Amino acid sequence: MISAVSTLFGHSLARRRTRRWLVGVFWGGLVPLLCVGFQLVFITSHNQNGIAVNFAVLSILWITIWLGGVHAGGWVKPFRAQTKVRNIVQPLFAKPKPTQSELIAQELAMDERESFQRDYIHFVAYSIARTMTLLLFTLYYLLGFWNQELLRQAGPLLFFLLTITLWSLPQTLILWTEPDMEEPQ
Amino acid sequence: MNAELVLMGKRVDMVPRAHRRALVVLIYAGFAAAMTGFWFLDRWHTSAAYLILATIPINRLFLGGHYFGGLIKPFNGKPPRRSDEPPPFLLLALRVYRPGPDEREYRNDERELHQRDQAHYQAYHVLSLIVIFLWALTNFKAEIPRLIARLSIPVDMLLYGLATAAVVIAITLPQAILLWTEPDMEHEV
Repeated sequence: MISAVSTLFGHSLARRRTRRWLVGVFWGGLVPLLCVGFQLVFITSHNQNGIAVNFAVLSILWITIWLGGVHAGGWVKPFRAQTKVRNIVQPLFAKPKPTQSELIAQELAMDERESFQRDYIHFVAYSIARTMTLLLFTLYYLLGFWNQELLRQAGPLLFFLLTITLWSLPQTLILWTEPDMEEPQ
Repeated sequence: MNAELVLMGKRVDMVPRAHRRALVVLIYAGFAAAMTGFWFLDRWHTSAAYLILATIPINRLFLGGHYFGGLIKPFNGKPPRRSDEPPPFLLLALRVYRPGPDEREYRNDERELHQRDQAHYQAYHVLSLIVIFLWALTNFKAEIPRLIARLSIPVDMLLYGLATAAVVIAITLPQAILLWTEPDMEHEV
C-alpha cells in the first residue's frame, strides 16, 4: 500500500515506527496549524470567504499530493489504478514495449491483498468520519441556538476540519497500520 | 443480506434486485420530498435535525447496516443487545418485535465483509466529492455572486440544506450501494 520509494528528507518510510511518528505530527501538529491558519485567513479577509476557500482547497491539494492515495507520487500508492494511454508508435513486427508511464503504473498498481486492505481501511475511515460528521453537525446546530455570531465565525472552520479529515484519513490509517517493509536497496 | 423484509408482520420478498432498487429509490425520494416539505415548513431551521434523526428508523426498518433489522446485516457483525425482560407490548402490538436472531442473520461471511468494505470505499469517494462540491458552491458565492443571485433561495440556506442532505447520505449510502449492486439472490429451499 505504501510506495516503495517513499522518503521523508531522505529517510525511508519502510519502518512503521517512523510512519507512526509522521501520522502523529500530521494530526497533532499540521492539522491544528492548518485550522488556525484557515481561521486567521477567514477573519482577516473580513469574512470575504473567497480567500478562505482558496486556502482550504490549496491545503487539501497539498496534503493529498504529499500523502498520496488520490494521486500518484505521494507516500501511499494511488487508490485507483490509472490506465495510461500508450504514447509511442507501436513496432510492426515485435511485441509492444511498455512505455515509461506504463512501467510506473505497473509499479503503483495494487495487488489483490492491497485492494482488499484499501477497502477495509475505507470502511474504518468511513465509520470514523461518519461519527465525526454527526458530532460536528450537532456542534454546529447547538452553536446556532446558542450564539449566531459565533456560528458565523466558527462554522466554516468545522467544515474545513471535516474536509481535511475526509481527504487524509484513509492515507494516514494506512501509514499507521501497515507493518514494517523491506528497506529499498 | 437478508432476502426478505418484515413490515408490520408481513413479509416482503427482496430476492429480485428490482425490488431492492425500488426500495432505495423510494427511500431517497421520500427524503427529497421531506426536505422540500420542511423547507416550506420552517426553512430547515429545526426540521433538519429531525431529518437526520429519521435515518435511525429508516436504517432499523429497511436498510440495516448500523442496527439489527433491515436488509443489510450489521456491519460490525455483532448480535443485537437483548435484555431478559419480556418484550415491550407496543412492539408486539405493532408486530415489529423480532425474537433473538440466528447467528447467520448477523454474522458476515468473508464475501459479505469484502462487499461491505467495497461499498464503503465507493461511498467514501462520493462523500469526498460532495464536500468539494460544497466548497465550490461556497466559492461561487464569493467569486460569482451574480450566478448565485439568480437562485430563489439564499445561498447560506442552500449550503445548510445540502450539508443536511450530505449527512443523510453519509448515514445511508453504503447500505444503498449494497442493495443496488447485489444481484438477484437465490430462493432458499
